[in-house]
Amino acid sequence: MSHDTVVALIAPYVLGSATEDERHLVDAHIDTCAPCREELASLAETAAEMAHMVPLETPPAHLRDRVLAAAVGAAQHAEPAAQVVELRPRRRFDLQRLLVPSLAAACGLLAIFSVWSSVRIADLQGGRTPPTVQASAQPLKASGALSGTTITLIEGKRSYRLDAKSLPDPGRNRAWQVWRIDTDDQVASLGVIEHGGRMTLPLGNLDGVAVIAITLEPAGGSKLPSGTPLAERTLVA
Amino acid sequence: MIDRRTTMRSPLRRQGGHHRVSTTTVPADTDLIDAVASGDETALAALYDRHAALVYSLAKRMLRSAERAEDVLQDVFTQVWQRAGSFDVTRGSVAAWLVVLTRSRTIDELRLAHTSREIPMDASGPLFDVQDSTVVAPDDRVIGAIRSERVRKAVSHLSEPHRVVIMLAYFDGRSQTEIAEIVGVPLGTVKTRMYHGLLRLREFLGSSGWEGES
Repeated sequence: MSHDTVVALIAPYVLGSATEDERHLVDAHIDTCAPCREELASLAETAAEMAHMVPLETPPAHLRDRVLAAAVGAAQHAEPAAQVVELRPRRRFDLQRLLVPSLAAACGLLAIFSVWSSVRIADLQGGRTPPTVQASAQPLKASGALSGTTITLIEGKRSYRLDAKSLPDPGRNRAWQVWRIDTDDQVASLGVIEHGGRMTLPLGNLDGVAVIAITLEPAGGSKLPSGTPLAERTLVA
Repeated sequence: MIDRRTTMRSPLRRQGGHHRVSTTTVPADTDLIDAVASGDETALAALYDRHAALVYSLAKRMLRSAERAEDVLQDVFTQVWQRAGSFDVTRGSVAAWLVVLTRSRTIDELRLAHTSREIPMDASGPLFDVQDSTVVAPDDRVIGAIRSERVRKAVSHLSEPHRVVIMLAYFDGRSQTEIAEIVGVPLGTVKTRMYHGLLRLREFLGSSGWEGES
């Protein structure tokens, strides 16, 4: 990749419309090219100035304490991050890809997951009271391949999202898949993540959800979970 | 970003931390970020007081929803708290970082909701009517109005082909491919227009004499 080619990618990069591949090219290049790094910072400032086209409007006063309390309730990270690399490519969730190889396999996988999910639901409904979600940022309990990985469930006013700064690479032809298990035992996919590193996954409204879980699945995702979760978070209304 | 404030307020101040921030000086944004990285909640509150209006206003304009803008505001400042230690001033100012975080989160929202969005083809159109806003404190209102006028004027100097692709990307969160389809030009043309448009915009902004942020 030539220097001139990367320079031409800087504008879509700072405007947030670069593809994932283009972002990676720029990231790799600016690590070793000081002029491009300076150009990127300069154009990022120009792009940031555009935000001032919008007339400033004061957020409702009551938000201040809520926002600050929610923020400081989240764990702080120390990992380095590329701060102008934040805007992600548009990757649409493709239901067509969520197919299992065979019905028999699907039934087997569901059985495994059902045992796990039924235990979790029983936890919710039985005498063992799981931790209540009080703050707006809650870590998932991770194990196995996700052990040591910080994955946080962020609660907004009307929606949730999952954040991870350093998700492990799922491996060749594999993907992380996020699931919702509702209080009526229904299981549904919330998204497939086919890369490691930083991850943000909007989850929408989680009304009726008992547990959020992540499993390792074949690339493209599965229709049903294929094993016990490697990260999970119990939600209580 | 120029800061005219002399005091900070915070109900969240806590003891400890290596980067304490005085309550009677005017710290630079970068000093506040350092303090936030050390766990200073006062510094986070100061950053909120300084930049919340920008984050909220931008998110609200892009999402056309006050409620969803509130969620974005919370998420952005949560990310600031979590990731202040990774901020790198060589890659842009604190304000630029906040804008990136805001736009990133907002574009996520747009994709999630499949929001039907207008196409802001004209920077002087209703989307940027300064008269329809409840703005912040009087001093900030003046500063904000001057700054807004300056940026809008710079954007208005762009040729329409350049302005359209930049506005579609920036305020509508459109991908290059989507922009190519909307505008009816090849993808390569979109890239070229983005680049030369941003260069022109930087030139116009640079010549208008506004000081950069510390």
